[in-house]
Amino acid sequence: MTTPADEYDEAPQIGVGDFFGAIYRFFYNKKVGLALILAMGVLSLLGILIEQVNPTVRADPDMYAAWLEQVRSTYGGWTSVLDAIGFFHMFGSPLYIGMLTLLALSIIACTVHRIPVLWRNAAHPKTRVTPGFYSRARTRSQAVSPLSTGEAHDQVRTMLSKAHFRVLSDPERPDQLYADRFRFAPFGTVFAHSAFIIILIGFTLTGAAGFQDDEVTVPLESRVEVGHDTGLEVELISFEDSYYDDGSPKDYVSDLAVYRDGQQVARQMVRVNHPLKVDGVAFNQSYFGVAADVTVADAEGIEITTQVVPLQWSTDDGQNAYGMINLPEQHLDVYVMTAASGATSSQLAPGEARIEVYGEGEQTLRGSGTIQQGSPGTVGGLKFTFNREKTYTGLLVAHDPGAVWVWVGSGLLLAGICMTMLARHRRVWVRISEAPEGGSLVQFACPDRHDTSFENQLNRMAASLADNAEEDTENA
Amino acid sequence: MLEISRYCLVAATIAVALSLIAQIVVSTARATPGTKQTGDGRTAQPRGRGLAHYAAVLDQFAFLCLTACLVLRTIVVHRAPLSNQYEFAVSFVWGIMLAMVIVEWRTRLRALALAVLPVALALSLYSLTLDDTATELMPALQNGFLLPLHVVTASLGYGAAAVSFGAAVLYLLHGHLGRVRLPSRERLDEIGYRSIIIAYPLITLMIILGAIWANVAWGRYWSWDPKETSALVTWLFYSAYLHARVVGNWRGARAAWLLILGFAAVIFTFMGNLFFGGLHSYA
Repeated sequence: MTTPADEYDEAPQIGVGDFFGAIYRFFYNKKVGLALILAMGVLSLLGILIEQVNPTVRADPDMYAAWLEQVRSTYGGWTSVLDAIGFFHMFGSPLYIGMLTLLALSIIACTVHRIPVLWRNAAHPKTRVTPGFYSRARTRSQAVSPLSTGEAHDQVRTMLSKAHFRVLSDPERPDQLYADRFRFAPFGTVFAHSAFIIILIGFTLTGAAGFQDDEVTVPLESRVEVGHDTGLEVELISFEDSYYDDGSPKDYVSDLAVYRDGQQVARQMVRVNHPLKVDGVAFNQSYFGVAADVTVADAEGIEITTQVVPLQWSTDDGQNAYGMINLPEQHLDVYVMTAASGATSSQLAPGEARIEVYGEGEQTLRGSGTIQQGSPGTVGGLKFTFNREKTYTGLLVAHDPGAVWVWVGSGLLLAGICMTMLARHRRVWVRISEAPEGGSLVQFACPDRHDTSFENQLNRMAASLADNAEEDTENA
Repeated sequence: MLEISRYCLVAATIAVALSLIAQIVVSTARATPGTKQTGDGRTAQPRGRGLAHYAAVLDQFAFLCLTACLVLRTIVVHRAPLSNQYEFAVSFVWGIMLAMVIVEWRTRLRALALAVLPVALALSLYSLTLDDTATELMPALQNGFLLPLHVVTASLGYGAAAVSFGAAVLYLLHGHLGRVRLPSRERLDEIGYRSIIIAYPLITLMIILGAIWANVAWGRYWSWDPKETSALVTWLFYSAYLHARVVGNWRGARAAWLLILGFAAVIFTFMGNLFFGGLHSYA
């Protein structure tokens, strides 16, 4: 005999199917879907309101720690909390990605759950309703026609067909008709929801299988490797920048040539809005600046390298621009600095360059000094010659296999939304019965959400039936 | 000619203000004998052209003035006048007035003006405070195809969203405004929804066009820039509204609050870049 205690101790039997069924039901629950959409909206909003760290800064622990100290003045004690939950890099945070994943699962579950319902409504609609339906439906209209029920039935059928409705009769209930229009329009939601998933797949492919490098700098008359296993090199043949009378930038254009295995495969004047594309790799004009042509030699004067260093960073006060040369065999990093364009209070005069030598990847200064253009100078045991300044162009080079999926998803999203919103599925049930005063009572009813234009259409149909009655009376 | 364009904006602002005043008078006037309430909450108009008619004419006049303002500016600057905060503010008001004129023409629901015109008036006054100097296009904006498409879809979408906001506000104030006559709650609910089924595809298209343009100009279709993220937030809030209404059958006050939240996001998208900078800091 089983005691209540035994029943309590006995573990409930939950099948695997029940478990997954419960998860499925959770995800297609409309309230869960609504909560997830709103949560995504709120998190995105927080991502705008809360200062976001630059990915480059975040990748460097020291720079990130310094950045956190900087924002501590704004967020105070909340800084550590916001950092811990990833709010300073919201759009890559586990919370945001997790929420996006849950939303995607909810969309998939909702779509799968709705497809049979949509198909049933489109292909096998319920044609039979109770008489009470005609007095309760949200949208209703009725008229008395002088015609017999059979004639009225035919007239209503013709009227609906002319208005491009599909009309279905129930053989067992000749007094009723079902008519609908745009019956496949609700499938637009399936397209729109599927599109959202396709766009997310595109986003994932962009991040996982592509690259975006916005630090490709090409000095004038120089050729640099693009990297990222593309096997491409890019050369800046010429560069031109122009300005409006008020000094604002009008245009900057790079004459770029792209090479593969030493052979030129493309050449184009690249400007903002006019990228160059080679084998799926896009070269976008991003920025430009001044580079320093510097020769480095060892203590005996034997040349180690001559490089054109893009001075792409600026000091905190904005007065100086600097760039870096890596000397891998010497295990050194060399920073080259000149006065920034337009700087008025830089300590460096035109034609001067400051050289700072550090151990590779270290912050310990090995030596520093200022050299004059054209005159060699020794800094940190090496001889440097500042040959001249040159223009460089900054490119954003990207290979994005996810973009095509984003565009396919976007098109499908728009098509799905327009299909659902602009061609609404309109349904009407019609009952034709004998009127107590003679003739036929024609009742139109629709349970869907109220739509004044559809209601007006039904009213016009009803009025048309009644007009026939009036005309007949007048003729009589 | 820029001066005439400016005068057109001033004229439009005055017309919107006068129309709003006229509508307040019409909506709060005591019903005269013989004035009937129609089935859908509208007030049957007396014979002849009453103040309500002239209020509608003022809306149409304001829309024409705004159109003239933008056309004259186009002639002067030789490009679509949609590239800075002043120009977009004017085109935003243009979108609102276009939506208002269409809604009035289609539904005859003048009372919506009580909540929509204050938004248009505030934006008109705001645009009058902005620097209207004709500036040249920076390189990123030099796309004669995508610039007008992207911004015009935004103006039209946001204009329709303003009407939905007005319907939502009036829905929530229904019964709390003393003798102010308003359309029925059901009608306001429907207008709010129908405005969004116009606004939502336009906002979707605007975001997609922005992504295409970003891919061409900046090399990436999405950068989590504050303005584009704000547009995404707007889209998500309106998605929530549609999901709640269509699937969850949400109506009434809860749906109205979602519409207000959505339009708050529209305003945040419009103004937010002034505070948060980003790639759209010129707009």
